[in-house]
Amino acid sequence: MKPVSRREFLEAVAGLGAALFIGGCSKNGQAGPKGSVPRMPKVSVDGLFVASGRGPAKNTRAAIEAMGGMGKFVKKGDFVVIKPNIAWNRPPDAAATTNPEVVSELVRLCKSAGASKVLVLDHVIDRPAEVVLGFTGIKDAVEKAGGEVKAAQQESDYRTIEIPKGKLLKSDTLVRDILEADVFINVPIAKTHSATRLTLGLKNLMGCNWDRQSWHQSASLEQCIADYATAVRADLTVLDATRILLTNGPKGPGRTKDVDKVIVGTDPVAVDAYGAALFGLQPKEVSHILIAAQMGLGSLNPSVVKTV
Amino acid sequence: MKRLLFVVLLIGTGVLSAAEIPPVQKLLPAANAVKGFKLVPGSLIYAKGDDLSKIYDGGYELYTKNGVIDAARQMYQREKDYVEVTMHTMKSDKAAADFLSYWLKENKVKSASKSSGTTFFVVTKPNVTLYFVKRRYFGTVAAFYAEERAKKDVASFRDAISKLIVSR
Repeated sequence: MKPVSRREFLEAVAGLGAALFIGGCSKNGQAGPKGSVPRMPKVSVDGLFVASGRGPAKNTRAAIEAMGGMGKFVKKGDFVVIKPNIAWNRPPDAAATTNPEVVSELVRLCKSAGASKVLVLDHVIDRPAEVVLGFTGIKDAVEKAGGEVKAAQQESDYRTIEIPKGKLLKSDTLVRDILEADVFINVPIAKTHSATRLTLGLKNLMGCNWDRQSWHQSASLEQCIADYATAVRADLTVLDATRILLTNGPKGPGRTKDVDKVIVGTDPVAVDAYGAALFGLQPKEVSHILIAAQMGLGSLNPSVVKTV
Repeated sequence: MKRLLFVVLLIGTGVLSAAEIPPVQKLLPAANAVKGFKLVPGSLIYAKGDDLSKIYDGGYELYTKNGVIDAARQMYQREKDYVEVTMHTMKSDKAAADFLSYWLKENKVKSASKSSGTTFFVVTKPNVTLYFVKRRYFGTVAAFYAEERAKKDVASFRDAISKLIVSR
């Protein structure tokens, strides 16, 4: 019996849900049945893979290859969503957004592995989003690599998901494309953040959600970040530490440091723990990383760190 | 009579719209106030209080805690050159001066300079950014291109804004 793909499963669930659902849109206006299944990873690989000294594209390729290749995650015909940080209208050297060469190399690797479509998206903060996609260098780089780019700027781009393990968040929204993707790759840049000390992989997922403000106004932004990560799990986290932002994050301008590393893993906590060390911090000093570890999302001390 | 009423309503609506523009937003230079720079359509953002997250995302609390009441941001473009201007209303002149001092320290700059009634400093890495205050207004002008040209342009924007503050 052919295994049911994630997309087929979701389509079946959505169809059944639509048939049963009466009453229209949820409070936040997302169309479709409330309470889509959380987004869980399919493959788990022990340890972290760190490539350095080669520049952004070659580091990305080397780290993925060390992990066993993109084929471990992406199969022929898959729909892949890549979520970098494209929140700000900043050029790549400002280290406020993910390096476009990291993103485009991932697009190439996914296409080579057989992906039918690779969509790169974010919920862009600066306006207008089209200008941001261009100015960050993401649009050009991705399109040249054979991918597509999208700014998820409409509420209709989002669907409600349940967060059964959440403490503060019991439900929230997620970009529909991520929910529908066969493979979801989270590609943050490592930088400081005035509210959460650092923003790495876990915090980058906040950009998959429609309403950021409600998290800021909640009892604990850090708990919201960890709650959301229990339901929105990337198959792979690729941390861009080509150049990191040391001050005035998340947007800068601020002091930067050239680190020339790309860190890859399936354990989102382990990736963030490694990222924290780049700033001279213990992972426990960053509340949302600690909370995520306590909620069982991963390890603060990965068993294997393979440097290539 | 109906025509007169229509004209009155039209003028009234126009006056009302102008009155609704927050003062800080009026400090954003018009197109070509700095020669060659156009407004980037759709780039204007105005935010107040917790809504400053629309401009600074999670970083907004730094601004509210330091006395920012509201802010307006506009992008400008001259061919491939982009400039981003953000003006903030502070709760007092002192809060504005203190916030500039915060950024001086943050950027490890020893002292600020004075020109056109403003107190300011410029950092050039990773891009050229000018920080300045005048009265209760704190502003930043960031330019993302070749340093020497960018330094001249951010100074021109500062002067244009300073004139707008004087006229208010």
